[in-house]
Amino acid sequence: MKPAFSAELRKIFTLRSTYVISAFAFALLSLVSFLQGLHWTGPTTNKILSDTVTGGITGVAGIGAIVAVLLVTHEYRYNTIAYTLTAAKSRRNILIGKILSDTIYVLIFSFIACVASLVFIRLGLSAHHVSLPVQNFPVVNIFGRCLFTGWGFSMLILVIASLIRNQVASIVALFLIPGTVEPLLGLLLKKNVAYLPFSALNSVVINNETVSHVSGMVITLFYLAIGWIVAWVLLNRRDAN
Amino acid sequence: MGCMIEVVGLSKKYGKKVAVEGLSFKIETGKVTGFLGPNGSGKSTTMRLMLGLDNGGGSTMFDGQKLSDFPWPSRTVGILLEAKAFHPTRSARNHLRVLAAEAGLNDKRVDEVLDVVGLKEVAKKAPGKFSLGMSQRLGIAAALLGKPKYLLLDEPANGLDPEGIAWLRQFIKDYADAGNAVFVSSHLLSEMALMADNVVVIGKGKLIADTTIKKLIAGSANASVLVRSSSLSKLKRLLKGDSVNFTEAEDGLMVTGLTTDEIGKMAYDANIPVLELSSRNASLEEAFLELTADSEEYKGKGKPKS
Repeated sequence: MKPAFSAELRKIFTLRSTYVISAFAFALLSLVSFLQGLHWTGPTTNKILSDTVTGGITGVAGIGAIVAVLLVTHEYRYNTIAYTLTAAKSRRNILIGKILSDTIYVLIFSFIACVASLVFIRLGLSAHHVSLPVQNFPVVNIFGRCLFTGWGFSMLILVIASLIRNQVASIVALFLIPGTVEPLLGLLLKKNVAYLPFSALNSVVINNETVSHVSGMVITLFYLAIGWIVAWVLLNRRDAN
Repeated sequence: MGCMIEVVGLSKKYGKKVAVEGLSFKIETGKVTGFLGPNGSGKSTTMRLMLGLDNGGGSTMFDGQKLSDFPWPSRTVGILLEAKAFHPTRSARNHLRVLAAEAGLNDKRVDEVLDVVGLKEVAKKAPGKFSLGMSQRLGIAAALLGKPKYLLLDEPANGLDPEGIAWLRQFIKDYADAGNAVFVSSHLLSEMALMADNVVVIGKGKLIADTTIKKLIAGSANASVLVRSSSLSKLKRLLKGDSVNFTEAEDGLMVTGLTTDEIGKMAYDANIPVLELSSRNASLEEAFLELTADSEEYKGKGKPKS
């Protein structure tokens, strides 16, 4: 297990695209947060900071998830999968290695994203001379839900990429499923759309009438468990190309 | 079970098309085994099946064990299946560091293999801009990383310059001489003739020959014997037979279907003076083309217009 994990970690952190994608996400989030504070026109409630952080993570989780897509699809695009599969004693280890290594990356990514949005909205508000009232910001609760959301998004995309194995199709799916497919299904499912994977994940950070934060986590974990099993079965059964 | 790779009944179908059918052969340690076949004959598929990359029938045992039974599979088998199997922007050294981590090896070994293949100077460069020859060298470095007992190389000489080909040939021979086994496919038949001890020939996914290079060439219909004599007409009458053919060559006859010993004895018994009796070996290319004449799936038919 350790060799596969170590190799997958190196795959993530020895690629320039990992740093470019992360830097782009942080820069975008920082700018948006700063401008949001600078042009603040709403009421100064005690939830400004928590809403900014939770809103920020939903905005950039998709960008961070691109790293998960590349971690899987580069193997097939550049045919390094032959080395990966030959070196490993079991294909299960490869899948677990990818899950664990992307988990490490995405937790760091999500944490920095949360801190960046916090810091830059405060800077923007200060520049706009807005004095904040005492904020209701339970750190562990907010950061915990944000990290789970970032992680859950990446893991759902990792499963999809493992099934599709094509880079372009996986990135299209990354933006299409949560942004278009599930909202469209919402027209049909009404409130029950909250039980779909990305909508359930969204309810972990955004208040939802149908699904609570905790239920959102449980539903996401359920989908992930099913997805990982299917990905593992297919990794074993399909030819490596 | 001795030290060898034993391939038994490998089979693979893509839909209704049979890619490999009931392929069985052995690869011995201490020898270079060439793997020959026309385009589309199933060579790459066979190698992928041997490594368990593709799902199909049959089995491949390494020293009597499945590859996945070894604690470090990539320390048992080193592979080069494709020259450009790397991420184009991950540096050559980092590419190998990833593979080293998978094999439980340290980074010192990475620097060693980079030195062996002559890529130390460009170790930190992105391989996306490497020439085909440099990419092959990186692929060979990847194969050597785990100091494996077995090397499976698919067209390793593609894109190498003459110096690179000569280096590779000697390297492969030395690697086998050190008690390892090298299984190498190539379309450079002259190179194969120089480095391989044994040869496995396939066509349309089926085994055509599994023998030594010497036997393959000797068994070719193109192997012939040159006989010079002062009594050519008598010699011609003597050589008439069902399986014997001859053509006139300069001041003698080029005979196929008989060995030098047989012709010498026949001439002696018939009291025919023989001025020269020498064997002319067929080339590996002639032997290969003869063997695979019916197995060519993709044949060129056109000729350049003058």
